Parts: sequence; structure tokens; C-alpha cells
Amino acid sequence: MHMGECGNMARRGGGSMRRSRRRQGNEEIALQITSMADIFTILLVFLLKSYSVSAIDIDVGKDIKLPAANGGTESVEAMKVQVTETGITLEGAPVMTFEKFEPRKGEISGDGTMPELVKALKKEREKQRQIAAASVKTGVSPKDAVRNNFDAKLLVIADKKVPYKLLKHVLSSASEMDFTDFKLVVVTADN
Amino acid sequence: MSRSRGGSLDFELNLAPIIDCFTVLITFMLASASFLSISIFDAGFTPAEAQGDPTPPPITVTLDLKKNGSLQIVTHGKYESKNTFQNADEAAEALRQLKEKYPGFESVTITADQEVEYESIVKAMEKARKNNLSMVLGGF
Repeated sequence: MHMGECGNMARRGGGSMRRSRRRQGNEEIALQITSMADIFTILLVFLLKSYSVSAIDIDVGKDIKLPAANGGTESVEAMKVQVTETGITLEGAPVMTFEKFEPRKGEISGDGTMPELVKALKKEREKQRQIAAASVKTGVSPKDAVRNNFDAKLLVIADKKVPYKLLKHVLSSASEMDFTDFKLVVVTADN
Repeated sequence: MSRSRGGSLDFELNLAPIIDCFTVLITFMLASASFLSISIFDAGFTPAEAQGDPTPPPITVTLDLKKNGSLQIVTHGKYESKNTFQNADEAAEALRQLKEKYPGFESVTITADQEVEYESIVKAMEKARKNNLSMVLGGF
């Protein structure tokens, strides 16, 4: 093969990624990157299509399988409580641990609430109040500012196998701390 | 892109920088993409003190999920009934008919047996939501 022809072939094949190796003196083998570019284009289009941009960061743990459903609304920013087979976390911090969705007897009070969870919610709620009070606008009393910024929303990120009994305990505890707007997090079904 | 100097036009697209860009972009997107689309189901709980609605709905409806998979719709108010359905589709159809008959009826209270899984509750809510009814979790 003539050197000029080899050079042309290499140039058609691509640029800096081309790896040429000399065989038996003058022969050059060029990597065809055109097909690679095709694959990359398809992959990029697919990724761009499936890429979802959301301002809300919902970190679903590995040990949690969310129920699938259609017709849900867009996620909102709110306090997050996670219920898994092994425990409950609030804003990522572990609150309670148990086995197979079964809290220990002492962990549930007579009114169906979970004192540990109520305590953790109270702490978070207090933080929320302090933030609200700190952002008091001119002419607004701290009490009104707290009331206006009071967020009754709670994102419930629960495993699909969670029994309603456990969910009721969690929601009862939340309602004890004035959380009344429960947002159940689900995975959008494909069909 | 280069052009030959001697008369004929010989275009050669230099794919190398494009491939470089694609590689970086694909790596970034693969690392950051979340392939699960997450959405929210509203399940407001109405506290006792907030229930002083001046115009009460014509009927109050409770959807009760049973351990055996059946669903029971209990209505109170202008229309008193208690019907059991074997699946969520049948229950959703019954809710649709109630909605047609009583346009003022707008929310369903969902209750369930202790052992009923969260997934079943979400499924029931999904079906009921198709009738433009809001859901309220009850039983606690």
C-alpha cells in the first residue's frame, strides 16, 4: 500500500483517537471512530431524554423499594421521613431501628405515637421555627412570621412492603407535631 | 474540517473533538442521571379542629382496604351504603358513579387493616385519584 493512501485512510478514520500500528513495515491500521460517534450520539440522545432535572433532592436509600403508581404530582420540598424494613430516619438521621417492620413494644405509646419519632420531629420543628423567626420581615411579629412559615408538609418515603399499622404509627406521630399534609413518595410507573 | 488546496474540495470531518465531548458528557450524565422518576401522592390528614366546614359534603365516603385484598366502600349522609369489591378497579368505578350522582362529594377517607401493605394503599389511591377525588388517610 502506498504511504499516501494509508495516510488518507487514517485521516478518514478519525483524529487524535486513532491508533495506528505499523505492521510489516508500511501497513497502517486505523480505528474507525465514525461508528463509535454514532453509538455515542444515540446514547447521548437517550440520556438527555431520560435525564430529569429536579430542584428537589429525594435520596432514596438502597434498602427501600418505593411503590409504583401513576398520576402523582411533582415533588415538593419538605421534611422527609423514611420508613424501611429496619428502621425510621428523619432527614437522613436514624431515629429508630427495628426488624421486619416490627417496632419493639416499648417504642409505641398508648395513643399510637412513637415517642422517639415525636421527639425527633419536635427537634426538627424547633429548627424550622427558629429559621422562620430569624427571617422576620420588618413590621411582622415573630409569632406571625413563625405561623406564616409553618410548614405542615411531610414527605413520607416508605418501602412498599410497610404494613399500614407501622405507617399509622408514623403518621400519628407526625400529626402530633402538627404535620397534616402528608406527601407519599412513589415511583412513576412506566405503563 | 480541512479543504484541499488544489482545486477539488475534499471535506474531512474531524470527529476526535466531538468524540472527546461525547465521552465527557456521557460519563457525566451516566453518573448523575436518575432513571427513576419520582412523584408525590397527596394524602392530607384533616385534624379534628379543622373540620368545621360550613358546607358539609352530601356524602362522606370511606374506602376500607381489607387484608384479603377486597375493598369496602362505606357511605354516610344522604346515601347510606356498605359495598364490598374484589379489586380496586371495581371500587374506582363505584366511586366514579358516586361522584356523578353527588358532585359535591370530593374526598375519600382511606383506611386499611393493620397488615395491608403500603403498596396496596397507594394502588387504591391511584385508582381513586382518576375520579378527581382527593385522598385522606384515616384510621389513626
